[in-house]
Amino acid sequence: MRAVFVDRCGIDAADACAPMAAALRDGDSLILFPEGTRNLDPERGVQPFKSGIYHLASAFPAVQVVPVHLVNLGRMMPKGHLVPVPMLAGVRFGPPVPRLAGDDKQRFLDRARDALIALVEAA
Amino acid sequence: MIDRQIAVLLGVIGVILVVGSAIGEGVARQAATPRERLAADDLRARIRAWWWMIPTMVAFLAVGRLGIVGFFALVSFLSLRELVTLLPSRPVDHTTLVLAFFLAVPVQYALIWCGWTAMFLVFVPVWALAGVSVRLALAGDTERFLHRLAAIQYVLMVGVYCLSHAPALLLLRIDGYEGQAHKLVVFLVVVTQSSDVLQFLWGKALGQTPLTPTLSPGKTVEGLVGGVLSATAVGALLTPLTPFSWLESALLAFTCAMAGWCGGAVMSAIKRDAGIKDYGALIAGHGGVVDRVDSLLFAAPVLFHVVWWLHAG
Repeated sequence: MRAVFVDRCGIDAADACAPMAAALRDGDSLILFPEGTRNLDPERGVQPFKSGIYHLASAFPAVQVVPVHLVNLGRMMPKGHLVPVPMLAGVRFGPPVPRLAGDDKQRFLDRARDALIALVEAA
Repeated sequence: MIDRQIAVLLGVIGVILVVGSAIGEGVARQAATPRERLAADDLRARIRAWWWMIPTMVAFLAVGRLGIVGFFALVSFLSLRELVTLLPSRPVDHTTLVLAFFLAVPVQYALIWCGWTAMFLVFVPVWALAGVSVRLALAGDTERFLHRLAAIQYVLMVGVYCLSHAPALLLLRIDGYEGQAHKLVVFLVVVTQSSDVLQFLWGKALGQTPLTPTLSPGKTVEGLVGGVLSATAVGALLTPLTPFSWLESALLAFTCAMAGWCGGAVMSAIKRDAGIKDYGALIAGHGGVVDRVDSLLFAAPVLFHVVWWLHAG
């Protein structure tokens, strides 16, 4: 699967990001789930983003942050089930999230989350 | 299963496809405006899809009874995927939906394959209804309970139960027609599909008067009348495949074409409600599997029961 394991119990965000930063430094792309966990109630919408994506985006200004929506994946295979319902699913890509001068953590995270929400609502 | 009659029919269909493809290429070459080019591309994609759909059906038909039952089981499964995607389901419905795919579909078609007519006729309306209702109730989430229950049962009825009547034609015992019932399945498929194509062509050629503007703006009175009448003529031409007189074949074809049109209307209403144009994208030019078989969903049970009343006692 070529997965990067992240220590979810760690306290220091920079430490938690280190394995992901290493992957980016090696020139790999990174598929990141910035909500940090699975959404148990689809009606709750996109959950708040964890800050890791901001730290990575600041450390690698050349890497584009592209929002991706996995359409119907939560319905197809809710958390805790073993057999998927073979309904139609899909992947939608949005335009890269811009990095603006004077961005702080919260503004960047909000803009990234809004980009994902726009993608979800367009589906 | 592929005898002389079917071979002749396939030859005729092949010629029609070659001519249709040539016309499609001609239309594409003459297209001047972007809009015409788009329409020509759509037409060519529609025709091209028949070039793989028909050989696929013939391959399953050649296998015999198991092939025919298996083919419709596969189409049911694929249709159910598209229909279940539209359901207002909640996470607790998961197991019920998994069972719809991996239990209801195989059981329904296995009942037909082993010839248990009395059970195949009640499995979905009685046993699956009870099973789905109880499973959903015991799952505990009563939010929009009736909506979710009704929608699951409806997609099972349409996508599994209705469609399964096409291979169930094999179960009809008609005097003097032993071992030939697979030709009734061919009759049903050829009549409903040619009715769809002919309605499309008549509509393109003469269509003026919208028939169901809120359902599908493309459907016209001229398309319906021309398509159904020419499908009736196709049915009369297919008389040698059937145990019927030519008049009876024509009337049954008329019935299939009308039921098929109704199926298209109902399945369009579901699409409009969901705000989608097509059920899926599996068949380029046609949309999803349900877009292709919508007429069959309603024509199959109607033909099955009418032939049963008239001939199979």
